[in-house]
Amino acid sequence: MDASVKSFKRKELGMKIFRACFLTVTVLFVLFPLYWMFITSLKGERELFSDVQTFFPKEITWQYYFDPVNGIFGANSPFLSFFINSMIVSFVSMVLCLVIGSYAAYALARFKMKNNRNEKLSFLILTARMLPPIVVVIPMYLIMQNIGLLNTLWSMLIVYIGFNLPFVIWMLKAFFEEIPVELEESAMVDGSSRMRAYHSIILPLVIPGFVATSIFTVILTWNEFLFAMFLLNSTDKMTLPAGISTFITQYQTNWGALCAAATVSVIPVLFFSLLVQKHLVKGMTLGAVKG
Amino acid sequence: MSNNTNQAASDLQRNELPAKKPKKSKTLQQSDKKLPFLLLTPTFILLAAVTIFPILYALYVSVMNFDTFGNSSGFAGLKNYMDIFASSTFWNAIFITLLYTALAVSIEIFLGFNLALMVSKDGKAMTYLRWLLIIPMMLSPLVVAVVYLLMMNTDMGILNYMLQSIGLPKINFLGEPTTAFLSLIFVDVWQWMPMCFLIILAGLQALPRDPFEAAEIDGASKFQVVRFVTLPMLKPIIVVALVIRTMDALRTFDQVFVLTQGGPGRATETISFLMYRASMKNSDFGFASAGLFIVLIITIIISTMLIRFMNRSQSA
Amino acid sequence: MKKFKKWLGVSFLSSLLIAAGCGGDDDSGASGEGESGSTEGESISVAMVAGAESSSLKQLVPEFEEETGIEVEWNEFDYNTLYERIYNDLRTGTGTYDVIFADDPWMPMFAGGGFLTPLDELGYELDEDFAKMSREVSMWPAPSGPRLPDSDPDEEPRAYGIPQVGNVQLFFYRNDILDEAPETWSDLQAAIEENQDEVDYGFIHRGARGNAIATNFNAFLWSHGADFFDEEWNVTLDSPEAIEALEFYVDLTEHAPDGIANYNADEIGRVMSKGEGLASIVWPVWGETMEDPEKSDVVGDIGYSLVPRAENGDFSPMIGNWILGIPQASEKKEAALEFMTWASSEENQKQMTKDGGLPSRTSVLTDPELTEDKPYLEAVNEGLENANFRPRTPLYSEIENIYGTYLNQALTGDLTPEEALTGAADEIEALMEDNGY
Repeated sequence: MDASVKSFKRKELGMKIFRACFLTVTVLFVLFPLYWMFITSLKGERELFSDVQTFFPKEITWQYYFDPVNGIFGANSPFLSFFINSMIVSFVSMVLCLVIGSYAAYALARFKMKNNRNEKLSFLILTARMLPPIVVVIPMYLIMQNIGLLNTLWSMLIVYIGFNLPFVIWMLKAFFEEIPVELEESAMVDGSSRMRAYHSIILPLVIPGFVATSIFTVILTWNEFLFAMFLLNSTDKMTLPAGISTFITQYQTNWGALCAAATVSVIPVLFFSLLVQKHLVKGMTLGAVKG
Repeated sequence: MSNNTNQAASDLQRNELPAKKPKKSKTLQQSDKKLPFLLLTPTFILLAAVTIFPILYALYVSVMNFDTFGNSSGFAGLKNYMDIFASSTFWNAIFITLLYTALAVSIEIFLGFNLALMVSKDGKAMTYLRWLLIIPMMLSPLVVAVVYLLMMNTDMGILNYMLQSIGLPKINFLGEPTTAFLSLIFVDVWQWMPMCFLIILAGLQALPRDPFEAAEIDGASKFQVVRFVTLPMLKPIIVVALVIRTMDALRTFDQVFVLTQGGPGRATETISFLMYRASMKNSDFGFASAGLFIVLIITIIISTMLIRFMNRSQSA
Repeated sequence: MKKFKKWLGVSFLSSLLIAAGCGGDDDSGASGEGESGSTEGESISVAMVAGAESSSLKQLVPEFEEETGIEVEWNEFDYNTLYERIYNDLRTGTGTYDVIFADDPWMPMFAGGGFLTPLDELGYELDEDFAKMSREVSMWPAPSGPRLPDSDPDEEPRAYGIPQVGNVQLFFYRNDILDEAPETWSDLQAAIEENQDEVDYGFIHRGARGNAIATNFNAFLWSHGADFFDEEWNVTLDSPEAIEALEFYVDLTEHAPDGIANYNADEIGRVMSKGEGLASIVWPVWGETMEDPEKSDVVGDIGYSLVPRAENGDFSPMIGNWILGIPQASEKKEAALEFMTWASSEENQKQMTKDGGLPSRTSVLTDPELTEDKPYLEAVNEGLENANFRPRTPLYSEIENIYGTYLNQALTGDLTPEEALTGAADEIEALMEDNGY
C-alpha cells in the first residue's frame, strides 16, 4: 500500500515535470516569432543577417523607430498615418457594427418565427461570413469606383461593417440567449414596450458581451489585409496591414523598419486582449459554441 | 441604393407570414409583428451591399469577353466556364486549398485538444499562460507571414541557424514544393492552433464532473477516460472549432501572398491566390469571375455540409 | 402582389446589371487636357515603387515643391502590387494618380491600351541624352521588334513616358577572387569550379516564382540566341537554344544556396554583400550597398560587368527601366509633366545618383565626377548599349506569369528544362491564339 502511494506520487511528480516542460516549450514556440520580430527591429543592418545570429542585439539601435530620416516615427515615414487610419476604421466600423448588429441579434434571439425561420435567417447571415473575400473584392473595386468611394476610408467602413456583421450578430445572439426571457416578459407585463424593455433591461445585462464582441470586431478590422490592399491606393489612406506590405520591396527590404512597424502595429492588439482576457475567452467560445 | 431597400423589403415581406401565427409565448409574439423585420432591415441592406450586389456583378462579368486591355468586348456565353473547367491550374488550386485546409485544421484540432487537456485543470496561474497562448490568433496574418518570411530564409534565417546549431540539417523552408507547402501549414498551425485550443478548453471546463468521477471509480485509465468520456462529450465543441477553422483556411491568402507568391511552381497556389493573380495580373476578368463563381459554389457546398454536421452533432 | 414583387426583383436585377455595365465601359478619355497656364498651387499624386529607385528622388521632392509651388503627394508601393494598382486605376479611368512610375515591360499595356498621355500632345520630346534603349522602351508602338497583329505597321512611335531609372541587369562578381569578369557562361562555370573553396556559393539565382526568375533567366535565354517569339509572334521558347540555356541555368544550382527557388533580389543582394557568393545577376542599385562599409563585407571587392554570353551568342543583359508617365485620366497633366521634366533633368539625375539612385541620361552615366565613386555606372552604360528588352506586348504580364512558373518548376527539379519550356511554350501559344496573334 505504502509503496504504491509512493510510486503514485512519483508518477504524479513526473507528470507534473513533463507538463511543465511541455508547456514551457509551447510558450516558447508561441512567443519566439514575436520576440524575434521585436529584436530584429533593434538590430543594426550588419547584425541582421550575420553569420553568427544573435539572440540579443550586441548593439541596440532605435533608429528604425525614432530616426528622423529612416525611423517609422520620422517625418518621412507614412507609418503614423497607417496607424491612425487603422484606428479610425476599426473603431468607427466597430461602433456601427454593434449598433446595427445588436438589433438584428436581438430579433433573431427573441422572436419566434414559423418553420425555424430564425435558424434559417441566422444561417443566411452566417453564409456571408463564409464567403471568401476574394469573390467579392474585384466587383467591389468596380462598384466603389462607380460610386466614387474608391480609395477612401468610407469604402473600408462599408466593407468592414458588412463583413463583420455576421460575426457580431452571432456572438451577440449567443449573449442574448443567455438571458432569461422572463425578465423581459415581466417588464412588458408592467407595461413597458418591447424596445423599452430591451433598452432598459436587456442591454445593461449584455454589456460584457458587447465589450467582448467589440474587441473582436476591432481586432478583425485591424488585421484585415485583402480589401485594404485592393480598395486603398494612396499611401495616406492605407491601413496598417496594407501599408506594412508595401514595405516589402522588390529590391531591398528594410527589415529593421518592417519589424519596427510590425511591432508597433501589434501592441494595441496585445493590450486589448490582456485587458479583457476574461471576457475575450468567454465571449469567443460563447459565440462559437452556439454557432 | 433604393433598389437594395426594395430587395430587403421584399425579403422581409416574404418572411412576415409566419409571424402572424404565434405559437408559444403570447405576450412576446403579439407585442409587435413587424418589429423583428425592422430590426433586421439594416443588416440585410448592408449584407446585400457587400455580398449579393458584388456577386451579381461577378455573375454578369463571368459571361462577358474581355480584350487584351481588360475592356469588355461582348457576350461570351459559357465560354469562361468551359475554360475554367478545362484549366488544370484551377483544379490544382482547388486541390491545394482542400489539402491545405484538411491538413492544417486537423493538426490544429489535434494539438489544441491535447493542450487543452493539459491546461484545463489548473486554476488562476493558468490564466496568463492562457493569454500567452492566444496571442498568435490576435495578430494580423500578414504580420505573422512577414515575421516568418524573415525567420524562414533558408540560408540566412534564424530557424535554420538554430537547427544547424543543434546539429540538424537545414530545411529548405520555402524553396521546395513540399517543404514550402508544409511551411505554410506550420505558420497556419502556429497562428490558429491556439484558437482551437481556446474553444476546446472552454468546452472542457463546461463539462459536468459526474461522468469523470464515475469513470475513475470504475478504474478507467487516463487514456480510456479521454477516449470514452471526454471525447464523446466534447464532440459538438470540436465540430464548432472544425467549422470555424475550415471556413477560414479555405480562403487563405495573406500568408501565400507574403511567403511564397504561390510558388515554387504551383505548390502553394491556393484558390484565393490564383483568383487574385488571374484577375489582377492578367486582364481576363471574365475568366476570373467564372472561377470565383465556382469557388463560391464549392464553398457553399462545403460549409453547408459542415453546418449540417454541426447541427447533427449538437442535437445528438 | 406577387407579381409586383417579382417585378421588383427583376427591376432590381436589371438596374444592377446596367450599373455594372457602366462600370466596365466608363473608361478614360473624357477628361480635358487641363488648361494651360499656371500650375502653381496644384497638387499632383504620384505612384512610385518602394526602394532605392525612387527613394533618391523622394529626398529631392521638397526642392521641387518649393521651386514650382506644386505639391507632390507621394505614394509608394511594393513591386508586386504596383502594377495592378496602376493598371486598375488606368483601366477604370479613376485618375487617382497624375504621374505613374512604370517598369518598362508594362508600357505596351499602359500605352498600347491608350491609358497614357502621349507626351508630344503636351509639347514634350525625348532628347537624345537618354540612352537609346531607354528611349525605345518608353515609346509605343515598339520602334523595333514585331508589332501587335492588327496594328498599323507604319504607325510612328510616340513617347508615352520619360525614362527615369536606367536599370539594366549587371553582373556582380568578386574581383578579389577573379582577375577579370568572365566573358562567357563557360568561363563563369570554370571560375566557379576553380574557386569552390574560396567562397561558399558560385552563381546565385534569383529563382522565386514569377517576375523574379523570369527576369533572371532572360539574360541566359537571349545570350544563347533564343527568344520568346519570332517576328510573327510564333512562340519559340521550346527551341533547342532555349532548352540549352535553361539546362545550363539549372546546372548552375549545384553551387548555389539551397533556398534559391524562393530567392528574390533582396536575398541575392544580401548573400553577395556578405561575401558568400562568387557572382550573380543583380540590379545596379545594389552596387550602392556593396560599396557601403556599414552594410557590406565586400567593399571594393565587387566587380561590375556585362552579364556573360554563350560561346556563340551576344551579350544581352535585360533592360528594366523605370519610366514616368501621365495617365489619360489625370486632370493635372501640365503639372505632372513639369514634375517629370524636373525629375529627369540632368541636374536632378546627377544629384539622385549621388544619393544612390540610378540615372538614365548618358551624360550622367559617364560623368567622370560620379563614375569615380560609383564604379557600377560605367557597367550600366555599357549594359544599356547591349541591352535587350522583354517582348513588347500588353500580354507580357500574363506571359511572365506562365513562364516564371515553369522556370521555377525547372529550378526545383519538378520538371526537366525541356518539359518546362515546352509546357510554357504551349501555354503561351494558347494565350496568344486566344488574343488573336
